[in-house]
Amino acid sequence: MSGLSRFRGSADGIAGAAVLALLAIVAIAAPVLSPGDPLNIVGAPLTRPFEAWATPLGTDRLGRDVLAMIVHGARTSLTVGLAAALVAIAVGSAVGTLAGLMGGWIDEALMRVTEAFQTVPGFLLALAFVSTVGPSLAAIVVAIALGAWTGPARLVRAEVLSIRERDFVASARVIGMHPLAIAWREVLPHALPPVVALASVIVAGAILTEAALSFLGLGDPNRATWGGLIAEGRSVLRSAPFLSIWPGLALVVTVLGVHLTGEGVVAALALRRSQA
Amino acid sequence: MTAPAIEARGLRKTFRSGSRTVAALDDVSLTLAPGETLAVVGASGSGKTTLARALMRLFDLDGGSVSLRGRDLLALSGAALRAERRHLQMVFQDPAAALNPRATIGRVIEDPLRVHSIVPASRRRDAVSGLLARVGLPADLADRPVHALSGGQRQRVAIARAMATQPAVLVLDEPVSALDVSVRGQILNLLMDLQREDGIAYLFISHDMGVVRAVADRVAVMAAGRIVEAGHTATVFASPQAAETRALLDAVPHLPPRPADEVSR
Ligand SMILES: Nc1ncnc2c1ncn2[C@@H]1O[C@H](COP(=O)(O)OP(=O)(O)OP(=O)(O)O)[C@@H](O)[C@H]1O
Ligand SMILES: [Mg+2]
Repeated sequence: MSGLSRFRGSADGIAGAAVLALLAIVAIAAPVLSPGDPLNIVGAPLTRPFEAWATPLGTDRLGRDVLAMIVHGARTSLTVGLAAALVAIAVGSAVGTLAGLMGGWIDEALMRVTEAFQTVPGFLLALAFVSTVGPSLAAIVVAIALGAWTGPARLVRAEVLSIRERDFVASARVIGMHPLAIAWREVLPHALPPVVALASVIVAGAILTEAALSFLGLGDPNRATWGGLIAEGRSVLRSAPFLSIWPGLALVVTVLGVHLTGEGVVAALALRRSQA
Repeated sequence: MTAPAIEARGLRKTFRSGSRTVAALDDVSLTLAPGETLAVVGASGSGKTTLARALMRLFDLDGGSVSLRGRDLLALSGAALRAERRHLQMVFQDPAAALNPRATIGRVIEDPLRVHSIVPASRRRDAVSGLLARVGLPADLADRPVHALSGGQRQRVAIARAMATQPAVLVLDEPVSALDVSVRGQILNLLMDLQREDGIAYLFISHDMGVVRAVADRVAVMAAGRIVEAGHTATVFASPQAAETRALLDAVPHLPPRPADEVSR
């Protein structure tokens, strides 16, 4: 049985993948679904949901379309979440592989750096970085990755330490393969499955961190973000709670979708392991 | 006399695990002429695999020297060492562990050809088919994953990978002991055929005196990291000197009648 068919056998995985697929379609098709700048004023301020056809989810204090902002916010959330997780896993895997394979003082030094990063809460790192560099999409991605790469690094290092003792790695050395080729072709592919299982946690964390940054006004000011929307609705929370509830719901559904997809991936990987 | 294919002098290696130290190699010396088979025999834990890995430079020795075709192997490092490795190859004890389980057979055999630029990329597939044929496997196996093969087939693939660079010396670490009894003879025959065709020197590690008598020109007996007896196969079998040699001979229920009958098809 292939990993894919095992994934299909996991109800969690299917539900999560369906949610994520829908979100991805919304994010990709955002310019078609709600053309124009979502930050433009389109109607009367604080229109309630389901009152006006043009703004089904209502408008904010300035008269901007909440639905348009949520649709475009999905773009920001997913882009930042996936990009930050990708950067974190790439950097973490490189550090972990290097540390595990080289050993000695290189391993020692890399692990001290990893621990140093781990002692600082990830959100504080992100906050400090964005407030120094300034809020742009790239800065936010780097800021979130800064606090997220240590998990994959430690995981990959632990895997590499056991993989490097296996005979097929010795065999690669015997035929004269370059150490970098050994790391890339022989060791890393075997170290990655547990990291893939961790990826959903990292993506979900990154999406939440992005939301928190925008909530604090450190998001990209030229983009609609869910965190920004929630913050925007805060001052009128009693009179117009929907302003915060809609983006909050979007956030919950997204993170749930990511986690459920992760469950499916873990199920697929776990079964493969027990088979091998 | 021609220069030895490989020569090791005074090899030493001590392993430390906690407070315990094991002298896995204690002043081990050996010489292997081109095209010759030297069997290294010994009980489990006597240091045979350690000797093999030391010769392959898979770890650093505590002392001694190794020369491969007259070149000081221990003086080499980096790219020079990697280039020299094509002349010295190894088949590992456990075929299930020695091949990357995610690789295809084709990749496993192609790797040494690519690493040492032995065959241009355009003709590598043919070369892989040729090597598969030499070890008695069909060419269409090239696209199959390693994990789809039986133990005997894997060991044939491992042998093809080791032969790909046309080495002067092949270290065989108990090449048949992990295999089903029924396929052992086939693999031994294959190894003998390949040696006859290519004139490779074999360092043949084993603990089975029956097999050793069938394949080896000379025998070195190891015990606790030392070589306790060495000589021509016929001599050692006719009048074993060391107690360890006699113990190994006693472990064979009855010796095969004649080497020739055992090996030839
Ligand atoms: N990496 C290591 N760390 C510590 N001790 C080791 C290590 N490798 C081998 N040894 C020890 O060195 C001794 C020789 O081991 P080796 O594997 O060379 O024996 P062997 O003759 O190949 O045995 P077998 O027939 O079981 O394969 C053993 O006592 C073993 O415990
Ligand atoms: Mg051994």
